[in-house]
Amino acid sequence: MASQTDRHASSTGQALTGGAWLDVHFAAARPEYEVQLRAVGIQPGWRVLDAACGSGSFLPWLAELVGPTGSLAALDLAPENVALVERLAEWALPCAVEAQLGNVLALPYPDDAFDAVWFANTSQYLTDAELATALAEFRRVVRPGGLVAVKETDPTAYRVEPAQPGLILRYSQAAAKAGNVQVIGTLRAPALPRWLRVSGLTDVWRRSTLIERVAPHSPVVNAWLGGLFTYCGTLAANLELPPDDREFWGRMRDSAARERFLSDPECWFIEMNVLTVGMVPSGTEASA
Amino acid sequence: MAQQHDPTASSTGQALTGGAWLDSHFEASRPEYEAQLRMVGIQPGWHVLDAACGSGSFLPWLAELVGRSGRLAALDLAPDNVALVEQRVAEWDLPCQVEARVGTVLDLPYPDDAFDAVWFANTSQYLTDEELTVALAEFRRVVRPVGLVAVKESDGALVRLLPAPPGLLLRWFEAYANAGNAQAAGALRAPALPAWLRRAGLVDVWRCSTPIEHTAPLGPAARTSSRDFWSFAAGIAAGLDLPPADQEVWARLRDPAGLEGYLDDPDFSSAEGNILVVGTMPSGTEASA
Repeated sequence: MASQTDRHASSTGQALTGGAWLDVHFAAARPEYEVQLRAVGIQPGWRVLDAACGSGSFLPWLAELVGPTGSLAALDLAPENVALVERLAEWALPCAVEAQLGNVLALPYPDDAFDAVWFANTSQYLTDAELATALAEFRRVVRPGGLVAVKETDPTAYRVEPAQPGLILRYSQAAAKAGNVQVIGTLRAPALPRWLRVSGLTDVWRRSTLIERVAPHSPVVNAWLGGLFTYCGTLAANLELPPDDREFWGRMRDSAARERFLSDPECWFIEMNVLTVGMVPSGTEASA
Repeated sequence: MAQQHDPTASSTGQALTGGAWLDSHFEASRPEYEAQLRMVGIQPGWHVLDAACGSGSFLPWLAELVGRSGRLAALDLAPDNVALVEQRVAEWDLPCQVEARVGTVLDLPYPDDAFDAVWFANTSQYLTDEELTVALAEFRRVVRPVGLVAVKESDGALVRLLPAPPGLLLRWFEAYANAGNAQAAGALRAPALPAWLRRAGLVDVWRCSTPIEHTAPLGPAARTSSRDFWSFAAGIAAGLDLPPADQEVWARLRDPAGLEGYLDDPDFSSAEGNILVVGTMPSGTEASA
């Protein structure tokens, strides 16, 4: 797990949950994130829960989708993220947004309170047992016929150049072997459709989205990739990896070498996201 | 290399070049293929070469792009593919003229500066490094200054099967390439194509990757294409040095009932990633500089 001093962490200590990091990643992946959210099927007038909303970057698009007749609830585990979201009043969104501190393992909402739940890049922080609990909670708070949408990063299909193919996969598998719960969670991403079905959701579908960034990188992409490679490079120092990979991660720990890599005209990065959407069965099916 | 009886091969013996395989793969990937071709920047009135045209599935879109004032040349190594293209072109009633012929991209049967653009789809994988250098030099020769060279290829490292151990296909491609298969090495070379185009002297090189994913429940084209590809790959895996967990999956895919079970699995997903790389011919001044 991340240490308290990890500059990418929030007050919860979870790695890569700090508002500044989330904002950089979001800004760098904005068009592809928007496409994924719009693919879910959220309708005007709906009440939607942004579960584990982080710094709230999805809320403006969610507000646009549900419109003035809809409403949003935004929940996060980190008080400073919730405080950030509460300042949303300044954003003048078209619908009401209620931000609340809380945990997806015990949602502070009654049954059938929502038409949909949006759960982005957070399944990775949960153990298998916790993911089962969270999905049961989503099923509970979403009405029959409503949607549960889970977006997650899928490190089994990342690509980095110039580097050996499979670099990120080998890093992820080594970190998982070393017991890193978050990395184990990201490796579970391709199996999320089965998790949704097992939790009792129906009409489950998936869609992969490729987030590709090619040199020369914009400042925000540079900041995103620099942060990501610094983070992974630090973790990789203690992982069992082949010599070529160790050499790569060693360079990522060195700021000058990392900058040279990011400014290489052949520098190219692909992050894969998987969006998985399921429907809460109607009352009849649920009781069957 | 592929054996003579490989059902995916054309008369050239190259794996995955037969018309039937190409057609089902194309049908399964139609929207993504169309999006890639339309990104290139081909203009009305242009003379475009479809280099290694296979069964010719891109020609209707190419014809639409160049329009009535444009024209197309379609070249393929396999006489059976060229015969098929000639028959299809006669049936299609395309808006422009299409001239199909047998030939190799290593020695193009066209004069210098004959084209405004070359479209080279899913064929760089069949070339060794040396051959790719020759082919790119040929494309440069036949395309006029400021014309375009567009190379589309499947990135071996982005081919995926679910449910299966992560990296199954990457290990398959690497093992097959290590065993000396040039096509597997060619598919793994795809992400480096921008550098290849730049080295060939093209300028303003850009790239765009497109994921192509087929998930359960599969439509007929995706089912046929997935069945053909995964049984092809599983057959080859039998002779490769791969971890036991991978071989377990490949053995299941070699068994026809096991393969159908896979295709029916609600968690089935078969994905590939395509890379499109486009470069511009330098202007006459730059070229002579």
